[in-house]
Amino acid sequence: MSFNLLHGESNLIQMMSLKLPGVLAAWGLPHSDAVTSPDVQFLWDFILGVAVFFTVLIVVLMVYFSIRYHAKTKNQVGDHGHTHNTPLELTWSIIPLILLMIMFVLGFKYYLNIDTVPSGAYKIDVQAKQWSWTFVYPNGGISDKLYLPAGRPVRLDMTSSDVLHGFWIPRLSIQKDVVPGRVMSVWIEAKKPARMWLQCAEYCGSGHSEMRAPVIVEPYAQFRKSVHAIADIWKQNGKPLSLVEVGRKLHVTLGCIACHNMTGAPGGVGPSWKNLAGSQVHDINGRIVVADYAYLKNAIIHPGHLKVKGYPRGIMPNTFAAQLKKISPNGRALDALIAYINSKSKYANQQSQPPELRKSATPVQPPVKLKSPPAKVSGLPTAALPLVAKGKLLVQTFGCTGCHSPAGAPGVGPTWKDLAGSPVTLTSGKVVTADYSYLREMILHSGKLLVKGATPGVMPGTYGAMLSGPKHPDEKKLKAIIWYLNSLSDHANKASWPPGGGGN
Amino acid sequence: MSENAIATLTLASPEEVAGRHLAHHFDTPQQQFDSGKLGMWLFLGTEFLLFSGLFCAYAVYRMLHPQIFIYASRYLDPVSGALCTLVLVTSGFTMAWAIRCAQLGKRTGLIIALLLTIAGGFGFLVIHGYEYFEEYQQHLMWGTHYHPAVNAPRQQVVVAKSGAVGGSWSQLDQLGKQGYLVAHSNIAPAAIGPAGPALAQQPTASFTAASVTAAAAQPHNVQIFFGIYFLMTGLHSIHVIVGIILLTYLLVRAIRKDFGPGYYAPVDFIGLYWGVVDMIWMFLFPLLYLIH
Amino acid sequence: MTTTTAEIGGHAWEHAPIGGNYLNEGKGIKSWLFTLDHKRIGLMYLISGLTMFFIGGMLAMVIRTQLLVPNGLIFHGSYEAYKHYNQVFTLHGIIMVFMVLVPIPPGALGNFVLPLMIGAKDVAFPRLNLLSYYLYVTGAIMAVVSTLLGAVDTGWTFYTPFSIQTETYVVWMVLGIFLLGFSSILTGLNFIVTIHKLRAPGMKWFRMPVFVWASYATSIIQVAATPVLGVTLLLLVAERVMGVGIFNSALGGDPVLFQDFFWFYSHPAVYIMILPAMGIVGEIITVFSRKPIFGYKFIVMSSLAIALIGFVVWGHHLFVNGQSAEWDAIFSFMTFFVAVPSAVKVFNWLATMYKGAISLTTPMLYALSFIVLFTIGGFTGVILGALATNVVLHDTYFVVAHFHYVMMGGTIIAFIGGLHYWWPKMFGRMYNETLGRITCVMLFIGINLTFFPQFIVGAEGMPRRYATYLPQYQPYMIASTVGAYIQLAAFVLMAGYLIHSLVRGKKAAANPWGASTLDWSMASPPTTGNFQHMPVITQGPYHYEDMEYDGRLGGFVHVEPVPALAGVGSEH
Repeated sequence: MSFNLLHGESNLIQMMSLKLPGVLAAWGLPHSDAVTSPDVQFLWDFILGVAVFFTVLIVVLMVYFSIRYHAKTKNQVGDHGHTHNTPLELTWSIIPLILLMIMFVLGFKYYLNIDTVPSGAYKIDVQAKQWSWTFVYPNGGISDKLYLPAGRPVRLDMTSSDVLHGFWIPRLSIQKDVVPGRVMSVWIEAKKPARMWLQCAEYCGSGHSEMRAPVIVEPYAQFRKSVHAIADIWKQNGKPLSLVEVGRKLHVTLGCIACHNMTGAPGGVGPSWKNLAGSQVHDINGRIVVADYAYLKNAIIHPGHLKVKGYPRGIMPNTFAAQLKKISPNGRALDALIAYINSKSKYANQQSQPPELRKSATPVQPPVKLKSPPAKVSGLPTAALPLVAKGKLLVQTFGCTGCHSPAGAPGVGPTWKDLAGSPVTLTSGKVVTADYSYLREMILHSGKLLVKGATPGVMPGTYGAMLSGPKHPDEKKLKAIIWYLNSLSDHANKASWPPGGGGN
Repeated sequence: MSENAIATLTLASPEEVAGRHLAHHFDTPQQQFDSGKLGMWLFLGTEFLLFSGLFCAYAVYRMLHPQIFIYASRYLDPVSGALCTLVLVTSGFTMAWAIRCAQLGKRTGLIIALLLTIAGGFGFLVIHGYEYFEEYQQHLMWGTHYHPAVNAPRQQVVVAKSGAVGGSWSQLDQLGKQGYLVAHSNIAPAAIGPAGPALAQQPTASFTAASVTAAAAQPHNVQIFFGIYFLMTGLHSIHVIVGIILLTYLLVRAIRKDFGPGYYAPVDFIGLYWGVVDMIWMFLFPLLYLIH
Repeated sequence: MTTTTAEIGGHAWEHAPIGGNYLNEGKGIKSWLFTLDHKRIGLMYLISGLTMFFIGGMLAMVIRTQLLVPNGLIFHGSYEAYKHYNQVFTLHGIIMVFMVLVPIPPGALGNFVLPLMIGAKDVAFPRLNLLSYYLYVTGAIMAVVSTLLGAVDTGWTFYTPFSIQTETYVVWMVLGIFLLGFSSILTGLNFIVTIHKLRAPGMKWFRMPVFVWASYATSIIQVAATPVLGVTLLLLVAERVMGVGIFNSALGGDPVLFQDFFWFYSHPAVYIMILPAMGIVGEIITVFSRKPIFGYKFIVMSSLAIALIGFVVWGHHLFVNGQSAEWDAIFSFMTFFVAVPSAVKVFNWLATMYKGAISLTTPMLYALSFIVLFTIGGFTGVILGALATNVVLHDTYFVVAHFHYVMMGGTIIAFIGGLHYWWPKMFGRMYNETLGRITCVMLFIGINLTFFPQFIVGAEGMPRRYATYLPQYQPYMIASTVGAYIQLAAFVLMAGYLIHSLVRGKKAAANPWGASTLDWSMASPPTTGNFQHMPVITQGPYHYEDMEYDGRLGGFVHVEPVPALAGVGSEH
């Protein structure tokens, strides 16, 4: 079973003539290359030996009886004296039982070795999805090939992002399902260098039969070189990669993907990268800036200097600058990452691309409008729209959205979706309408009007001083927040609008 | 095997009645009745087994995520549950009375008892239906439909102060030790459950104060409880509806004077079914409503 | 009553009306569609089941043809094409398991033979029996409908979360299978009550033929395991329609729980499939060895033991999915334990042949084929039951070969043997014995050629449910496909001579094989009421010394007053 054979055109007749004698000589498991394999092989041989013995015994007896006791005439009858023999029957119940128990004990004993991951094993992460395998090495290298060191235990932590998959390397005597939502671990210690296939064993849909990955077992020194080469972000299989592809590898290697998603879905720890480059964002002071090359660069190497509104400071580690510098002192790795961010944005333009790509980039586009306009603005007076935007910024600054979801999701406090103008049940059982005065009262003196089901004292009482009172006599900020609340509600009406219609 | 059976059938009138209802392949009415009864018991056994699957799911999830069940069961109204129990138990008694009346040939009593039993079944459905309606209004539903408007639970919940946490699992565990209610999901945590992203899914990621706050307020995957709740009570309610249909069939036959001391097998068998439906509710009520 | 005495029948108390039998008493399609006669219902099951077997078999031929070349001969080149292949093997599995292997041995042979064997006029609940048949038909139609709407591609196991995510018509299919399960429950329930309450006078428990015992054990599993399948399928429907999330990791559920639920039914279901087959083989071996079955009580008890232990081995399907090692050990232990009664049965059948008077008729050849194929299937099951070897062979062609040896080589071969054995009783005609034997040998060769290479290819590293494969496996795949075509040829031949026998076959005697069980005590085919007079049983089911072959009749007759079967009607 050579590796080349798998790729090349197979000559059927040649293969038949090569394979069949081998099979006849040792009809067994394929040459097993893991340290646990001899155990499995022994158990296999033992059961197979017993099986062949009894099968042959049964067939021989059957054939012999059929010939020896063949009826000569239709009227001949068998010996009616032998209808049972309890000692004999117990014998052929107990002997199989003993043999089977031996098999069970051996199977369990060996299985514990296979199942128990030794401590101190080299760790590789395996990501399964429909229909590919991805291997992440400790140095951050990512590959679609599984490299294994010969003679060293390796621990594989496997996750699936969609359905069940089955991690199976027949020649290394190992199989484990990869169950979505769990981390499944197996360990392998290959004895000697070899090339083989990893195949998906658990049915996973249309591409199931093509979901395989090459497994390359190498001497330890060679293995280290290979893994080092994988971590070389500039190349794949020896071929240079484009800047965007390098960036794609980097964002996984550096773990950016854990906080910044590419789908635009809300709720991430950091802002999504989808349509980020070239768009307008709000910095920490509420100013609108364009996410151009300089901005992106600054955001990566000096997190905390330029932050996006709504995302708390100090979450993003400030270690990326050093890491990127280590990868390429001339800053090309950083450019690659920015190139990748650009590749995810429809607003990408000459100003947002790294200098290296500017020639080939899309034509200059004017910076676009705000990325996400307020959800519900129809029906509100146009004059109020800037206030809605301001209100949105304010609630993010104050951290209101930590407890109140603008989207209707459950939280500590009631959601703001469809709140303004709708009926609210208070703890007293009284039903009131969430009009302007109610909303104002709730924000300023949250303890006064308790909503049914809410816990007293959870909402801080500090907002009153921040939004109203002697320091803020015009309550501009408060009104902006309430405008924002109105923009989130289908029930918003004149009574729930702040007075003045947004004119001031 | 049939001599005793024949001996008990010497009473003239019931024997005639029984003879009219004897199928061709049975020798005696007693044999027919015994076969029917055994068949009915076996069928009821399968009914139990049908529910047993749901009880297993309940047991597995409750064992793995007790905090979900403790949290979510507070949303259910034990008074309404107790009322359902009372109504069903009463209808069980009236059903037993109906069987007795059928055996003794008391037609009026049988009709009244059946009517009362049917009324009990409807009463149960009305009370439970109202409970469903309330849960529907509050979005206390299964899966992605779970997003209750009244969100804060009735019991005091400590909320992590903003900025108190910025770390990972170990910090969450610390919070738990300090008495905060922190969500844990030992198996199969949701990638993005309706209650927010499951924290176990991204052990390396840092958490904002906001996400910790959300985690502290309610356990993840509360919707699982409501899934199991609706499946169990829903399947049971379907059985109650089937029971009401069967009881109505009995009522029609009772009015047509079909039953008497010689022939009351259908009343007996459907009575058994009704008893089992009652009994299943006796299990459901404490398991779902009374978790503490 | 117009009767003839012993001329065409074997037993002294037997009186068959000339010309009248269950096939021609009552004419017209309605007399069949609304029949309450267990024999007619059995026959309808047989016809429906063979139809489904034909469809499932054709799908198997598509699978085998596809796998002739590594890239796939029929479906190749795109995920869409592979999806069609997946739909084909899914439908093959669903049809064979839920519409052939589980319902047909009890539904067709059990329905026909069981009341005859215990001396009953019918099953306990004939209407329920008919309902159960129509539930079967409805379930099968729903499966066809779902296939037309968008064939399911989940595999017959419906593993979550894939079965929740796929866009094919899972709900229809699952509801169809739910009805099939309901049908199975009602059949099992009916048989249990029939065996408990409708045995003829003197038919004590240990005077029942082994097939009745096997059916009894089967029925227990049907009644006790199928409801769990029912609730599992309902949960899957709730998962897809309502998004309940119990099995969906994306909603906090556990996909592995589905596997536990599914196999809690589907492993015992394997014994639903194999136990009637074992019963049939027991009957055939004793009759054609003309010797009482050896160790009757051991055989009976092993059937019950298999049925009971079979409930606690389901976890051996879950050895690689993260089940804890303790549970793995328990399930592995129980799996080995359940192998013992199967081994006992094989040895007892062999001992029955010892000092017998063996004639190698077609049914006997099928029974012997069964023993060989079942032994191979059983031992490879032991390899899979051992934990350390399981993790190497799980979900491979080794597994495919193992369960095809047990299901095809076991259940189907025994069922066909039983069909040949009871054919004269069912239709009153004899088939061509030579062609019967040739077909059996062809099938035996075909099955081994199809499935034995799959053991090797599985051990070499080919996973199951693959639309394409690595080229090094091709020689085995070709051998396997050739075997499948040999099987197809054998089945075509079989259909030919069986249909021919219905038209041109020699008229069958009441007891052409010289069997001593009650099902051969009336004319072939039986009348609607089965027995003219209620038989009274005074001894065990197997005794061959008191009958003699009558060449004129082509069957066996009793030669002396029968102490065993002195009936209430014997003075007649």
